Amino acid sequence: MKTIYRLFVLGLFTWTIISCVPNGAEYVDELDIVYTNHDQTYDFQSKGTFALPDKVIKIDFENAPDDPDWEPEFVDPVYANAILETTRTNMRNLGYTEVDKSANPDLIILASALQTDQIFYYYDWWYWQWWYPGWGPGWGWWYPGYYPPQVGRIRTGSVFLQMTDPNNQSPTDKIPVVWSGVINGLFEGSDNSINQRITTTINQAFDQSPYLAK
Amino acid sequence: MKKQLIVFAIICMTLAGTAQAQQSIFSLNYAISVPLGNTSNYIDQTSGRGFILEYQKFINKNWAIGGEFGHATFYKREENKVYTEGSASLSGIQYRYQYEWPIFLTANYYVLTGDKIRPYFGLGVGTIAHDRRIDMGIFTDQNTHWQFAIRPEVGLLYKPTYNTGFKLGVKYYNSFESSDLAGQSNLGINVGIVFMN
Repeated sequence: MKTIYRLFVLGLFTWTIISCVPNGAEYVDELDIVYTNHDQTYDFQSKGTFALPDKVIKIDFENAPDDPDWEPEFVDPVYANAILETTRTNMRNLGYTEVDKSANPDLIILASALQTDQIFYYYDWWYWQWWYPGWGPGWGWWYPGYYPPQVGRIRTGSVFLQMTDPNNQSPTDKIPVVWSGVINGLFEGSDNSINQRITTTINQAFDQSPYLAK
Repeated sequence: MKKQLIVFAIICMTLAGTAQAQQSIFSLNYAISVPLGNTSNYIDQTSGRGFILEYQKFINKNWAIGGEFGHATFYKREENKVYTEGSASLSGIQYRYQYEWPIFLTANYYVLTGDKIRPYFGLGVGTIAHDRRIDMGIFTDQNTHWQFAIRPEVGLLYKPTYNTGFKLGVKYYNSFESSDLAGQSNLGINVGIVFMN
């Protein structure tokens, strides 16, 4: 009897404690992260002009074809404008002047975005052995000519900003990326709220890179 | 939460049984943990999420030996911070957790005074499993670190009846550096219900 009583008390006690586990993120914007990196030897102060394309590239995991006429897909202008405008405003506030790409800019900023909305989904066929007629060891399933186990579930979005120096091309034709910023978060919500988060996070990318200031 | 604790306390007191000679002592403690040193560098918020179970057997009138097991959760939401390493900087909200699982062999010396109140000193030697987790963005990093640990304790045992009572203990948990985590420490305040028989 005493043992039962103690077990009961113990159970009640454990339940009491476990019932107050701390929470994590509750809102989408709490999952936004901003990463920046740069060339520490690069002298940003000596640069004055920058150029910015009017579109944002949409990266879709495929290798770009080796064709001079090929154009990539572009991000919906609703989001692209927020990305480009915020970048432009930050660069101007830092003291840089925007010029056309033909006017020999010191820096060229390229913006791209990536959206992943698929996760690989697979479960073992053995889950069905209890019901499927004739099912036995050695059986399995396959998908003739198509691939279904990818379902949309978590849409995450990333925005990449690359600041390049077109005047410092190396002898092997490599263009140095002197600063880059990556923003990652859930691609969920209204256009308005997504754009607000794009603005906040791009501002943050510049804020946490004080060496860019002139 | 508060309501659950009250209900729990009432049930404990009404159900308490009776026994003869006092040879063993068992306690259920609510544990408050104040992070110190390296632990407070990671999470500087006091934890009110914890419990400790203790069992000891008297080997004579003053000394009792036994064991301790428990759990505490430290938690902090860390925001508006930029984490810089070399040329790279990362910012975002971090959700930090440290789950502690202490397991100790213990020895207590109970000072003989009047009937109802007995002060005591104790020492525990054992291990603490520190399960650290950081959530940032959609990413999680989690690792468990087992560290050798000691903990001295001073406390008061109050027993208004023959086989039930209460105790208040203050413990200093100190665990030592392991391969990938610096030594951790915290101050534990235990308030417990005690059963003796």
